[in-house]
Amino acid sequence: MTATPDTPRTPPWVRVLDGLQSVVAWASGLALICVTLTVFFNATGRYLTGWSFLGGEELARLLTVWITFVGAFALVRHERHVNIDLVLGACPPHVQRVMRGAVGAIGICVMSYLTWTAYQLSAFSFGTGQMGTTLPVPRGLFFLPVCVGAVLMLIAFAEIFVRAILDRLEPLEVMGADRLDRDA
Amino acid sequence: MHVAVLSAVALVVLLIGAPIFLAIMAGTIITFEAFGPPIPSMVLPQRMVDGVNKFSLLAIPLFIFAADIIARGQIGARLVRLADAYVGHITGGLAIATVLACALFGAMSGIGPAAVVSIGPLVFPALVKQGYSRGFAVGLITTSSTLAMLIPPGVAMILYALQTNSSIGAMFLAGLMAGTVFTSVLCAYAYVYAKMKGVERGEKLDWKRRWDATKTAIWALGLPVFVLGGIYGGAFTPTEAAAFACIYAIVVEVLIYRSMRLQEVFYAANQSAGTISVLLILIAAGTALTYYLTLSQVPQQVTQLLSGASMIEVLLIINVVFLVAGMFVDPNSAIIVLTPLIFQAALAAGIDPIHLGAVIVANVALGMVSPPFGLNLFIGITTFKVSYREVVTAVLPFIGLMLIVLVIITYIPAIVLWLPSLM
Repeated sequence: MTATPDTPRTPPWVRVLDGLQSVVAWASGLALICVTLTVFFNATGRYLTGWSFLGGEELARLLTVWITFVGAFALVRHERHVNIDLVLGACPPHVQRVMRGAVGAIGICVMSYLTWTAYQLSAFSFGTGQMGTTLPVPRGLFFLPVCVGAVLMLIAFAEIFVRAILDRLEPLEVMGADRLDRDA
Repeated sequence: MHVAVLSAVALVVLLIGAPIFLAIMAGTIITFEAFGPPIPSMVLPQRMVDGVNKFSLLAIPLFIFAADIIARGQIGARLVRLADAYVGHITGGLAIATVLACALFGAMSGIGPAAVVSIGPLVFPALVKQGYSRGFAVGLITTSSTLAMLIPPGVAMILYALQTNSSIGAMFLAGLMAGTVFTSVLCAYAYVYAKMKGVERGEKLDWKRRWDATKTAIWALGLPVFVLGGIYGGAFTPTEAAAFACIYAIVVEVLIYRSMRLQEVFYAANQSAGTISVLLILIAAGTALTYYLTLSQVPQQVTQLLSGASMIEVLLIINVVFLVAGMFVDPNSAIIVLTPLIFQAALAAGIDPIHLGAVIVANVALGMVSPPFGLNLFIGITTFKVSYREVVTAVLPFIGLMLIVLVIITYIPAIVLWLPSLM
């Protein structure tokens, strides 16, 4: 399929981020299915076969921590996290652009801080050699998703900030309707 | 001073339209670095992970996943048919069937808005065709869908229980009692409305056709029976019951009703993972905030501030705070941020923690349908293609009714505490 002349070409960096987002979305979905199956088979196995996977509970918790922090990336990118947009919605478009750019800038600062502190925490935890209680994995794997997620969210907030400067933000009305569909 | 700075930063960041989790984190980080104790900053991400690294918390993502599967399948349609078969012939029958279907749906999904989109499109045209006004139909569906938050397994109930270290099982029973009172009042209003407006009654079905409707819904009805039976029978923890609900819903929708392909389960999982991430990162940020507030002894200061107030006054303050919060932010955010602040003060005033949970969840449920920004109002607008003014006018009588019920369950604790007291 070829692009028509009036179709704007998607910049390569946006395509890279789109690809990354797809990978994160599918990985999060698969992780959720894995959590479901682990908890289910551990519970039913206890009654049906008298056997359950000892590290199952810890594995389910670990995957949920990864879903929480890494999965947040896609939603930050499309500004779909829960927010209060009454002031934003009442402002004229040029003010909205400034406010959304400001959100991007604040997000960059907060996520930079979180990336650094989570990196310190993960490095410290890996450095101690501490292992999970029942799962034979380093305890640092529980803290690593905060660092990875913070880096991804930092990229997403930077994208919003750059789009605000270049005036290439998605229209708010579209996002609102989309968000309602998602909530529904 | 530091609480004023924290509140000011969070408020400014919120008002420019930032995600709530970002506003909480911005406020917490700035005050922690400026006024916090001399401990390493990496304690904040550690607390965030602690907030979501709990086995009992897994019940929330798993019930959300189950709700997404149910919302995509046929269970909702079969529940409407079942409820209509039994009560459709009485005055206000279809409206009562709508309330009962939403209540049954709530016993499977646990999420407020899900019933609006699952049950709403099925009953809205039929309600209007039978003579109910569009406003009444929209108000009835949007309000009834909030029953899912009260009737177990309500996600908001689990969230409150985790925030306060209360028993999830006891919270479910308290929610069941509160949900039953709400359901009864909504059914009574539907009856009175239909009687006053002279709405025509539906056809009375013979027992053979009722049995047919029951047979088609029997697998759907099995879900709450197994889930709640498993929890109260001691066979499963709430988290295990939630995983069971997911597998049960998949088996019923994919293999028995054949309304979904296995591929759609993966799509549902993708969608659920997004919803879960939105909620859990809020919990993670809320845990860091709670940690900082506890270090700063803010809950103790709130307790001291309310120490002269009677139990009724404290309950009134809680009602107002959560009701207003529910009008502006989503129910889960309100519970995560505000519950740790008032919990100690409520206990000091002699309020039972289970009763408090039922009151808080009922308040935020009411907030979901309250103008100006109740989430269900906007879902109603997109689902039924009605104007904001139409939906707000439609829900006002229902809000009045729910306020009356709220007063009853707030000031007569025995109503919600009766079942938990039998545990």
